[in-house]
Amino acid sequence: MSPALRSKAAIVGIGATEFSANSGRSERRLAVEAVLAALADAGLEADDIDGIVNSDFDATNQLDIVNALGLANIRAYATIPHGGGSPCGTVAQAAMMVTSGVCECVVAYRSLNERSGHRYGSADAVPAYPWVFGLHAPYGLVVPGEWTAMHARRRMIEFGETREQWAEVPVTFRAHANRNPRAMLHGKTLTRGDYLAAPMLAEPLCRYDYCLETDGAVAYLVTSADRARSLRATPAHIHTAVQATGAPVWYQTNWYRDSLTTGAEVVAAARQLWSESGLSPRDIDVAQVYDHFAPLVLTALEDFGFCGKGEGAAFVGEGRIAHGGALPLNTAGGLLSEGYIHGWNLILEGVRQIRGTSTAQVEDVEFSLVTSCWGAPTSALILSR
Amino acid sequence: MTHTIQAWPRPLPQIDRDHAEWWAGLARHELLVQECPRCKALTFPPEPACPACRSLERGWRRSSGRGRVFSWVVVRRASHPYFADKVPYAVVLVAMDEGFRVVGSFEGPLDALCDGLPVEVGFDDVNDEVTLMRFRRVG
Ligand SMILES: [Zn+2]
Repeated sequence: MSPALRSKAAIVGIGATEFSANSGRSERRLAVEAVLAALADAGLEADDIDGIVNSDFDATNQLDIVNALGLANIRAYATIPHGGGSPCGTVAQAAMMVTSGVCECVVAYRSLNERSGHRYGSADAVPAYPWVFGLHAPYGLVVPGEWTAMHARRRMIEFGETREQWAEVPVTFRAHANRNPRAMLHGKTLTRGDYLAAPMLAEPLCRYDYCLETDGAVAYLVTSADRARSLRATPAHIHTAVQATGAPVWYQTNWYRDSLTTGAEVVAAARQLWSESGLSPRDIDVAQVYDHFAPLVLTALEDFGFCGKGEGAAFVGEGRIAHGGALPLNTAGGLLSEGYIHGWNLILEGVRQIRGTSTAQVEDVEFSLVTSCWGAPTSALILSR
Repeated sequence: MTHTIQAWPRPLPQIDRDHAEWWAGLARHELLVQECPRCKALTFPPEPACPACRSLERGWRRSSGRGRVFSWVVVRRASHPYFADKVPYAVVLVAMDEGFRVVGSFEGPLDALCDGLPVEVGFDDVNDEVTLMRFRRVG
């Protein structure tokens, strides 16, 4: 996103359904509920919406929203690809649609019955595996946890990391979820002992290294910074939003490029993010880092420049990433403990931190970072007051 | 995770035209890697053009079949029902001596696995089109 667009658009409404293991409703219905909640939050009407953005992998498409809500004013729409890499990219897209003057009010949403419906981790939907998936599925590396274990092992080899060190991430995020009544695991504590005692699934990973599977939907509304001034919510300005692929990049199976412990796509996104924002990691007050798997949070922090390569385990130690620490992370519980809306719920928490309404609120937040998936074509976002 | 009990076939690749020659190599019990006829860059997984020099001309080189374990996963709870009775099993990422990496099964004691373990490829024919790689320790 060009610096010329910096903070010219803002997120002015956020909405979500409950996050559950079985929504009992269609993904269409969940999406529409989230959109209506975002409109109510912003004090806008459905007829104000003139643009729609969503992600691929969604079981719904824009027409489902248009038809359910009778949206007659749509002028532009887009679907941003690459699954968990897409969320912050949808913010970049919405900001471009608004700052270009094509749209005045863009809604973006993500809806999924990931727990009760088809699960990404499930093997039942794919009889034969295309593209690079065919190179590893026949050997029994079928789901993202099994792929990620290859990367996690390499952190142990290269940096001497231990599971004792990795525990800091899921235990801290669970503590944040314990403060957040919306979190799926709000009522369940997680200790370091629980983590270390958990059986291995795809060694060296256990279930607490894995993100949740969730039914639910989230939505947000973007309008111009000018119009945002007249609305009720504190605007979360879209300071900078970027997309990047790096090269080469596959989906979570980035075993064929030089390093398993550096994400070419995240390094590329970070370079763009810092140069286009004029900011540095030191300026970030709070961050929501895509946590599909706990050890990858360390890799992402390094790739974004919060610490040097191989220093991730030390960086997350001593309470730095906890509420009250120097860089609180995933303050709603993240994908590990709040819910897994494919990374989109991280955007909503990033907005809450700007508004001052998080259940693990950081004081005086000026810059709130949100990142999308490590290991796929990705994106990142800085929100500001 | 629960799955309907039925006869689950082994997950197999959909062999597309860009990967077909590589799979044909395995069927002949040869591990191939794409080698650019113009700039000699090795490319794996196969691509329709050379990422180094952008040539559309594609060529192949046969690997010695020897390499070293670069990383590995031990699956202790199967995600796919075909593998339910095969746990625990190890899958290795091998850095071949020529300078490319492939994934394959590991045959041998799990506690032998370590970074840099020297291994050699073997071949398991699954059907007329698909042959898989199995690595075992050498030396
Ligand atoms: Zn070439």
